[in-house]
Amino acid sequence: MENEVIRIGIAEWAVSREAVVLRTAGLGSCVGVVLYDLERGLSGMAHVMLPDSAISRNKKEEIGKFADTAIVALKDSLERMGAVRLRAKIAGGAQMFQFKYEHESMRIGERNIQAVKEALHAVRVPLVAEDVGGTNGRTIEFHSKTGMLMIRTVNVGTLEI
Amino acid sequence: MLDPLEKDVFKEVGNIGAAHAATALSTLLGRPIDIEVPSAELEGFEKILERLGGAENYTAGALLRFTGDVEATLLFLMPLEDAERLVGQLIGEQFRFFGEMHSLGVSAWEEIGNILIGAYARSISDWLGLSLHVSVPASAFDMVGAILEIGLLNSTKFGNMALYIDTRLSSLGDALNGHLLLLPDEDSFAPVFKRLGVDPNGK
Repeated sequence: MENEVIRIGIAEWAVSREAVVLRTAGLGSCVGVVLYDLERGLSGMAHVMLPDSAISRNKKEEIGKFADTAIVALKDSLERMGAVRLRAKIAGGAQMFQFKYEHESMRIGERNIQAVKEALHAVRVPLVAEDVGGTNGRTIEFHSKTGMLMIRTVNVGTLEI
Repeated sequence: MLDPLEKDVFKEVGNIGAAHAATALSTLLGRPIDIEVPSAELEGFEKILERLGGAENYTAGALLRFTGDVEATLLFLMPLEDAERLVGQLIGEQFRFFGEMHSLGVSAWEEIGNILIGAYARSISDWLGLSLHVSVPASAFDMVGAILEIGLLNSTKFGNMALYIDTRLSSLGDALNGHLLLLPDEDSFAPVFKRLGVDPNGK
């Protein structure tokens, strides 16, 4: 039987204790972050848009939007559900537009990747696989049963990590 | 939610801007372009993506930034195949992105974006007597969700929502469909309201 697919929109996050497929579509400069405990069948995903929640004016509604808040929320929720051995996989952080004059916000992909890695380090969750940077948009699917993260692009094909 | 007064102002901005952009496109192609009444909304990210055909819709995008009295991101978006047809008409032969003539087509596509969005910007700045600078165009050919994200970054004031003014352009004969999407930065429309003598807080 096919596992249920949980769709995570831009700036959203979700966790599950079931055998599921966690999916987020059209990651550009955003980073898709997966935390999971394979042995206990627990998994979660966030579609992170920005590095730092310090600029947020609606913290409660914007947990999934920022690297720092999203990763803490994923870890805490999964641990409350019984996770012991959490691992992380990430994908995204592309630079979609090549500008002749660089504006700081255009480097947001790189800044997101760095912020996600720092936040994972801060909560001591090891990063076991990544597909980040470049210039292509990505749709990702995490299969909680196997721990496989599938990455699809429209221009350069499909990858499994 | 936008109040009715704000909505009217934003729609009028869309009307004036997109009408001039459509005229520019129609001149470029030598045939009429249909233009829909613009919609102006404050909506969740996912709703905006639905309007554009879903996050994975394979899309050609041209992006320009407005700076000066109004700060905003303007995106011209077209399904990839329609954009290929449009570029093909301009360069006079069949065209595919990522093929042999890719860089020629990208230049043509960016020039189309430049002309349309330049017309949009000029008409708004003339109408309002505001100073508006337009950046050089940049382009991307990918999933529309990935293209759109950069336009959503400066909208954090509203939670997971963004303010947008969208106008659909189409040419039925060639089945060309496009969106001109204006995404203002936070609070960047204050000078527009001021110039029009409108208090957005209604007090």
